[in-house]
Amino acid sequence: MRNFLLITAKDLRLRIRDKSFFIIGLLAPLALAFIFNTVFGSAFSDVAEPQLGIVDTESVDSAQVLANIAQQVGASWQELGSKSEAETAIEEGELHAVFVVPDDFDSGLATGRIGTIGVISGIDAGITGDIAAGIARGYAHSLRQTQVSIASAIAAGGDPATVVPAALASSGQSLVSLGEIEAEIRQLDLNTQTVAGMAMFFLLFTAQAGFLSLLEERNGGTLDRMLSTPTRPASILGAKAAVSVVLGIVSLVVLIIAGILLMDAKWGDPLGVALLVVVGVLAAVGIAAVTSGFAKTAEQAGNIQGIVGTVLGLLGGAFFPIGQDGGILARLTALTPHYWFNRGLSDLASGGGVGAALPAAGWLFVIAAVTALVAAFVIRKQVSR
Amino acid sequence: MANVMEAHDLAKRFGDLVAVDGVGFSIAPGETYGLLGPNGAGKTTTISIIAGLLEADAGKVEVGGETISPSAIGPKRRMGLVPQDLAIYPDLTARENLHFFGRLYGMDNNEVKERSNRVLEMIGLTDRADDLTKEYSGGMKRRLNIGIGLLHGPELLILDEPTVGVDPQSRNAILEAVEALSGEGMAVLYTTHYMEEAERLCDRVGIIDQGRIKAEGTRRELVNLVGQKDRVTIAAAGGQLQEAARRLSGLEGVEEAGADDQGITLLVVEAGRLLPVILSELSQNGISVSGVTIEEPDLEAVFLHLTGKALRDV
Ligand SMILES: Nc1ncnc2c1ncn2[C@@H]1O[C@H](COP(=O)(O)OP(=O)(O)OP(=O)(O)O)[C@@H](O)[C@H]1O
Ligand SMILES: [Mg+2]
Repeated sequence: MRNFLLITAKDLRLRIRDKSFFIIGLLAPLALAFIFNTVFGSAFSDVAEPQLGIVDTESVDSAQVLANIAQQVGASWQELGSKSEAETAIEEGELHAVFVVPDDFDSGLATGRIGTIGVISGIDAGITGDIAAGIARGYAHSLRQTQVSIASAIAAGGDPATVVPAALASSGQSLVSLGEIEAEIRQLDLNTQTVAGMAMFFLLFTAQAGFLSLLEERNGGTLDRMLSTPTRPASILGAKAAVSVVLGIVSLVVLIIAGILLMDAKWGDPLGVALLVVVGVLAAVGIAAVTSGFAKTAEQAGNIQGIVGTVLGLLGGAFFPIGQDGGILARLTALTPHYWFNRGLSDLASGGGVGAALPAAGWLFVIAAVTALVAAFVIRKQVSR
Repeated sequence: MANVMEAHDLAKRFGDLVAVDGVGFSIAPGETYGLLGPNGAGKTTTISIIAGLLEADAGKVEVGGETISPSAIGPKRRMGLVPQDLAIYPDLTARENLHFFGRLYGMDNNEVKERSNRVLEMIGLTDRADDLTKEYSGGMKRRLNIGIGLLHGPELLILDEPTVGVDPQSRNAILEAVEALSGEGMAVLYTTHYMEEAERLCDRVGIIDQGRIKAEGTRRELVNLVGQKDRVTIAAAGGQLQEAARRLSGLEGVEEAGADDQGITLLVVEAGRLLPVILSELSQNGISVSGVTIEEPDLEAVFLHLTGKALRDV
């Protein structure tokens, strides 16, 4: 344990001294995230704020519910006089999607009939159109669930004029937590996503630092020298992994803070973010340990990691988003730590507590555990002769 | 007193290549043992097994009575290794290098500081102790490489060709340091392919070639083993030189004797032992001696004789 700490401290000192950590761990991801954001930021910026509207309707209670939901998902809201007015606004790109609520929608509810809410959206509305459709679907769905309570309240002599709005409001409440819609509105804003993607991409390289130095020491003779002292090989290996973990965590934490200060990135619940950082780093260190286990020199390990890191980064959507609609690519995406890291952060950003990050954190932990298991076999030979 | 190190029947193969083949020897406290052999003889492999870096295919090593293996951590404290290739951190200073390895050996902060100062003094790096070692000359790095190995005061210091690529001045400093440590009672295992170093430093030498120890003993024993003789040249004047030479050739241990008008030349078994007898014999015959040179056969000759390589080379 003592020698484990001594080696870890020595290595951290060396990594700080040779400045490689500052470049790979901090400078490069920040700079790239900044560039990506400047170049692509405007192209995607409208995704960040959905612009929704509603055609004027006599069903004011439902209109109010929809307006509330729109507000909760961070969308702008506009009322339009007629359907044709709405179509023009969409054609001209002023709005992404517009709700059409029949005039008799609310009154129908009192008699147990649920009408249909229409959604008009442009073909290029993309995610935002889906969000609007999801809101409408989810609203109708939750109304079906509250239908029973409305009916029984009226049967018990309740005044439809008060019972219906109350039930609508409560269904609007429950709607926001509906998983189906959440998945669609769960989008980190672009700045945050860019920083997160870059951070995970470079994390794979930062996380290699410990293992690169192991290979350097192996070829430079100092590993033999350590092994000739009363030091267990496991302490050396452990120290190398610990160096990677420490540098990885520092790099992520600094990036997250810098993201807030410099790029106005928004992260969610700090505890959840901390959890994701830890398991994210563990996953990255696991992957780096496996790739380093196959290399003979530090240079070779760096090259292998370069390929692995780029492929995972592309698949994981670190550079541009990968479609989520099924398909082989979407399935491969789910094998990358980038995807789960981003997903976890999105879950937090959409307002969840630590619990919201648990599924993503769980998958990151699985990646860490599996790679650690493989690494245990392949990297052991690097600390013996 | 028990031996510091005993190696028995060590063997190691790398694939088809037999690097070490039945090597065994022991080192007593205060003794300097030399492994003398050409490139690829198996010196480093043998040393790596003894230092517990490499698992032997067969055989056994004991240091201070404890069995050595890569997983035996405890007995490693008893040894200090100076690897053939530099094993220092270029981005640490000499003091930091010493400190790090000293701590790995279990020394506490104060002890390691104090000992580092002494070692730095000994290897002549006190002035440069706080410079990064990447700024050092080759010889300075070599000296630090050695200093790290002896920092914790091991019972057995293992040096693997420590003077390769070192200027004569640094080299001499290294040899003197080894002599001093040996004088303090440290057992030393020293590999080299320089005959002069083995002759100067080592109490006993094992001649190793192709993974086998071909012969072992003090220099004298090795020389005798192969029947090599000392050549004694005596510059002398006065008296009957021819007659004196004839009489000397009758002495036990004198193999050949001849004379010319410069003096007498003898081939003897052990010059050091015979010289007093020879000199008194000459003075009794009224011959005044003005100078004596002894040429002992060197280990090079022994080596060539043992490995038969000279025959092939000729
Ligand atoms: N890790 C290894 N893998 C394969 N062969 C090896 C390995 N280490 C040593 N050998 C071979 O074993 C033989 C003995 O090598 P060793 O390094 O012990 O020689 P040496 O006496 O130290 O030589 P030198 O004076 O050149 O240092 C050589 O033929 C060498 O090529
Ligand atoms: Mg060698």
